[in-house]
Amino acid sequence: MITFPRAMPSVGALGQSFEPERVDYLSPEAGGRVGGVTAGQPLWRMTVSLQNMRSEEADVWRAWVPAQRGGQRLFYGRDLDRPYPKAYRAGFTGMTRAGGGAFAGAATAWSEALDAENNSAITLQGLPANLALGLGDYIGFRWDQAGLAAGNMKRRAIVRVVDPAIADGAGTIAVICEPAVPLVVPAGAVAHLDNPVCLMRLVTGETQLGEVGLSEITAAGGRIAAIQDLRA
Amino acid sequence: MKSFSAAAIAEIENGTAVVSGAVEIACDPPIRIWGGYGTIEIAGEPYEGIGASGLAQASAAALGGSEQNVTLELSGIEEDAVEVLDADEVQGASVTVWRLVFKGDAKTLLDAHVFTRGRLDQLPLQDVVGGTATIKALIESAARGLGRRGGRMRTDTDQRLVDADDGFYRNVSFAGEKMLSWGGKKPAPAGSVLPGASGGSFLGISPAETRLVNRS
Repeated sequence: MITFPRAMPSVGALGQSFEPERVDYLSPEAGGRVGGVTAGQPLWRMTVSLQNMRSEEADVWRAWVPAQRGGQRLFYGRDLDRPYPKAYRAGFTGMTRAGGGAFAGAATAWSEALDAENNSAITLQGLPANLALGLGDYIGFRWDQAGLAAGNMKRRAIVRVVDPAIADGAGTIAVICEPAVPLVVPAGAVAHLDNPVCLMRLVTGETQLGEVGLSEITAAGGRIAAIQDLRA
Repeated sequence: MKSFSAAAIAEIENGTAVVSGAVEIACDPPIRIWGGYGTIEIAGEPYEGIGASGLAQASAAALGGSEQNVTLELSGIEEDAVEVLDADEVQGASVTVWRLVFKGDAKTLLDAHVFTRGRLDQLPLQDVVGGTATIKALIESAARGLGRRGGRMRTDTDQRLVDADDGFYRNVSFAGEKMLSWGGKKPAPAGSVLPGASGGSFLGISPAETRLVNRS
């Protein structure tokens, strides 16, 4: 059975852009100064370009894209390059929390504070001692979708580490992240470092799969475009 | 007089402000939505986020110009926005539009003040196949009704409907219109308000027609 939000395939992905998109209203002045304001919360925007593939691989995408029904259904969009922090690309297997117990990626507690420069400083607790988070690593948040069985964890959000840090001996780390944790993320959400994802929808007009070759068993690439769907 | 809080002014000055809008529609049940994500509290009431960054941006005004209506663009697929269409007595419901200024993190609310008040006028829906779906909400400002025309025509037929013996308009097919701007621009000279007035038009008969009459 297929359930949504659905995971995203990664086969045949040649390149990916996964960046927060802001809507800015700029107001350049004659004096050279650029004023302006930003409209609302930044959202993650993703584009994936697909290379030419064997038809078995192309079938994965050609089955996945229609099942999303254009922009109707949600999926878990992610940075394909960073399912785990850069220093732990193989995962957290065998790691233990500073306070004892196996560590699979989830922090035991998290909090966010805004510093004097209005940066979002996220503190995670219950990590392994001296765990390192580098530039471009992600912190994911997961929490329950209301109205479904407890523990469904179908709501996701993601922030990117923009200032690296190393956890102290007690397994506590404070890192600066962008964008700030959205307002929809409840205080009871679980912060985690393994497979951080966010809810996304396909952008219909920009998503296109290439032709399937008839003379050879290959399929031309394509382009997948999606935008974050932030909801409580 | 509208005034931003000092913190909001500083943020705008700094170029790091994030702006959004909020709308309260006093229909039944009342609808309170804002342009971001999550629930925020304004003036003691909870506002649901509908994620429409462009909410309440579609308005314009000019100093000394006449009062303008405000158009809200609501995302058509958001259930909170669709409620607007479902609610009873939406037509003519009073609407309050708030302007919100946040810090650069888009979550610390610095200032919320009323941008305009009015009444809900039209709710046109627009669906583009394969494109966007939007509900627009047109809000009449305080100058509501001034832009409306009555059903009456300035013609002999219509005048005789009012009074069968009144033949004031019997010799004209059309009477000049005069635009009056209330509470806005100061009245323009009569010459530009009455089309052709400076050219010697009399009761709607233009100079060109007069010449034709003279020649014949």
